[in-house]
Amino acid sequence: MGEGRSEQEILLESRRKFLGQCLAVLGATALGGALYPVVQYLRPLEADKAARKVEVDLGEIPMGTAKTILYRGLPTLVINATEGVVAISAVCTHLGCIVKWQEERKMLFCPCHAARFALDGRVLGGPAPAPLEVHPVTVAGGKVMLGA
Amino acid sequence: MSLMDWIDERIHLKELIKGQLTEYYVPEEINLWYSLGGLALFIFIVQVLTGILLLVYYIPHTDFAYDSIQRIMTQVPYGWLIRLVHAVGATMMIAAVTLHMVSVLFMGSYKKPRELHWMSGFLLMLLTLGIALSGYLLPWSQLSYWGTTVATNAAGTVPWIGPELNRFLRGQEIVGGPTLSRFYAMHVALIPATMVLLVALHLFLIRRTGISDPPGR
Ligand code: HEM
Ligand code: FES
Repeated sequence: MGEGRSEQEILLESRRKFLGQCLAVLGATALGGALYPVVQYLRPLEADKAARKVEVDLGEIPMGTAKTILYRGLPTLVINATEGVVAISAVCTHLGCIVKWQEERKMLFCPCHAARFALDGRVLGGPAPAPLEVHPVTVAGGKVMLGA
Repeated sequence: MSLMDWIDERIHLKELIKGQLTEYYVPEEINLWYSLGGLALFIFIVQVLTGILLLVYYIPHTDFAYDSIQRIMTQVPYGWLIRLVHAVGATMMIAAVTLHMVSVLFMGSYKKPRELHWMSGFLLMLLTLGIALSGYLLPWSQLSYWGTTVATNAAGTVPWIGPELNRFLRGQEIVGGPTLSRFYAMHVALIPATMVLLVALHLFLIRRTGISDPPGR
């Protein structure tokens, strides 16, 4: 190939290449346009990231016990302790297991690797590197309100 | 070396693409009607893709189906788009398949040696109608419910086996939860899987015989 080709052939080939490139650009644009709604459709819903404002009936939590709720989409313990009502993240700061409230020992305990936390979030023992986050609450009319 | 070269060196892919796609020659006088089968296939692929997307949010249960569709339409980003493409696509696919069949009929393309193409195509048309009918029940709306009641009643008029066929389709005496479950299974699994196999056969047959010459040649 090369010398033997006429000007006509060379022209045809470069036109073919050019049209091919145009087609590729058009195709990529169309694909992008079609993919955008699909990505948006599949993204987890904002609304399901859930309640930034949660209300719990204090009647559902007898003195000394706790209830696990979803606050900002994350498990959160609302504890009706003698010291007052406390809302504290239930996501262990070690590897993310869900901690439980232990009524008799008055502390939070992680079932995964036995991290222990105090009611104010302090680490009492175990592998947890940081305290649990405590969320401010307001109690009024038998209701506990988070994230007002 | 490009990825394509790497693959080509091992399985000689370029030769296949050249022979089957970029340098596959068809009769010069070919007309627009010849594009309808390809159009039907394209819409089928769109239906499969949008259908899989709908499955992400659709709940096949009589208590939740309708609300899950409402959620797709009003809350899920671009849910309305995915659903309407699927619903409109269903009608378009039936139109494409029907016109394809009509064109094959009036151009006489079904004649020897292409009888098998016609038979596999005929089954594909029946399955297209079947998948559209079964999908129509899934939103569990008034329209779906009564549409399916009427359609299954029609099946009930078949001589001899009619009543049994009707009960078999409904899964019980009247359209209800069991009907939704079996239509769902047919719509998302049984029929599409069968269609993929038949489309493969259909395309294989077309490549074996080559495409027909338009009439008058
Ligand atoms: C694997 C392929 C497919 C899957 C997974 C699928 C899935 C679904 C789902 C989940 C629905 C309920 C959501 C809705 O009603 O919008 C649906 C509805 C529907 N589908 Fe499909 N589908 C597929 C292929 C097809 C094909 C090929 C056709 C038509 C030829 C079709 C026709 C319909 C129709 C008519 C509805 C009702 C539309 C409506 O009223 O919203 N589907 N499909
Ligand atoms: S995840 Fe809680 S202790 Fe390891």
